Amino acid sequence: MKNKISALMDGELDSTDVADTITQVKKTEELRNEWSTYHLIGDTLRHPAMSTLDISPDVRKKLAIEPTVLTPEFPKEKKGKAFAFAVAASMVTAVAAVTWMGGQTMDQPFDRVTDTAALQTAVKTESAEPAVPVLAQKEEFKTDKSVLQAAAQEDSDVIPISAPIQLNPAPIQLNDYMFAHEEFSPRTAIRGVSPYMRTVADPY
Amino acid sequence: MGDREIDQQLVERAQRGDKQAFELLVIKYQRKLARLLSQFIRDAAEVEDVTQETFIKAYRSLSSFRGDSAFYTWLYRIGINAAKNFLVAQKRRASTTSNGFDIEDAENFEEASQLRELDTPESELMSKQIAQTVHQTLHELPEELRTAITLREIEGLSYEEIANAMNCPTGTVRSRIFRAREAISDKLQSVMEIGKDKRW
Repeated sequence: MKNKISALMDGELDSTDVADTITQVKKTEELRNEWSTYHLIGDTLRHPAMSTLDISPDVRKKLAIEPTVLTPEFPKEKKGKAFAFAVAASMVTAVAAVTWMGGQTMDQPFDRVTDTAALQTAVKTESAEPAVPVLAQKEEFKTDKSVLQAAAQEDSDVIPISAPIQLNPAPIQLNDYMFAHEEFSPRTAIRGVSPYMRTVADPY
Repeated sequence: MGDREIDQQLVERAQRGDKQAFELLVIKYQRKLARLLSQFIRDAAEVEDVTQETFIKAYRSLSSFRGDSAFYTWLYRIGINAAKNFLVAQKRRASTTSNGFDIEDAENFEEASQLRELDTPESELMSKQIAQTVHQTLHELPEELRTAITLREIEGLSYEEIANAMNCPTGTVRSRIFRAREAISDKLQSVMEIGKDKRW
């Protein structure tokens, strides 16, 4: 046990033995004297002066009449849990924000591409008229996919691709106009950067 | 487990109502604290009084200690405030206070040359006897024990650092330091028994 006291006062005792050793030192007068003598040796080797000073008996008497301190424990685990929760909440919020922003940005190109694919499917029998799918890719208006898909299943001669064809006269100017005024479109709830963001897939 | 963690364990026990755990901290830091306070206060008896008062104040304030700093840092702050309050009450001025002595100096306070001689003639004699016994026994120790305890107590090296320096396992260092302490402790017992009747 004295060996452990020696290691304890150097802060070199295994953590598994610390609690038990401290308890033994408190209980046993002999071990407490060893604790005291070992510290006296260290203090004397470092500073020979004041080696006779020992106020511990007087302090012990004064402590005996002091009200016992009972401090509520500060659970360290809760600090860690709170921190972990805060980090998790921050990450969830960040992911949600990015997802929402991404949805805002990607909404338009995604629909356009899908519509384009539908249109291409719809006019696959009209391959003799290459202008139709090109125009369809350039149109800025949202097209009802279900209508187009239903139409694609019908006779290709009757497919109503005529609506996009009506945009033929000035598609580029119209696109420029729409781009310039897109900020004021009620389609986006928030005015700002989102309307101006373009993805790689976006032909404009 | 390091020195600071050991102190923290003792503090936590004291915070749960274990006064004996606090007494172990008193034994550990009493001389170091007294040396610090001797920078402010000349009289040896007054240094002892303020040192005692510091420990009592620390015990009363123990609920406010949350382990953000090391226990001895917190204790020294209380000690310095106690010394200053004492000097104000005594309407004295410590000559060293004009040197800008602060907490940081207190934490690094290890200079024996700055110490004042506080001992009375009797206690000074006892101090000399203790110091002589310790040093004489140290020199009589086998070299490996003497080197191990010197590196630990004077140089402040960890067991691992000593093991590297002495080219031996950490367990051997631990054993050598313990054996050195035991040898010195045995020799000290007789001196301390004599001293008990006088001042201990």
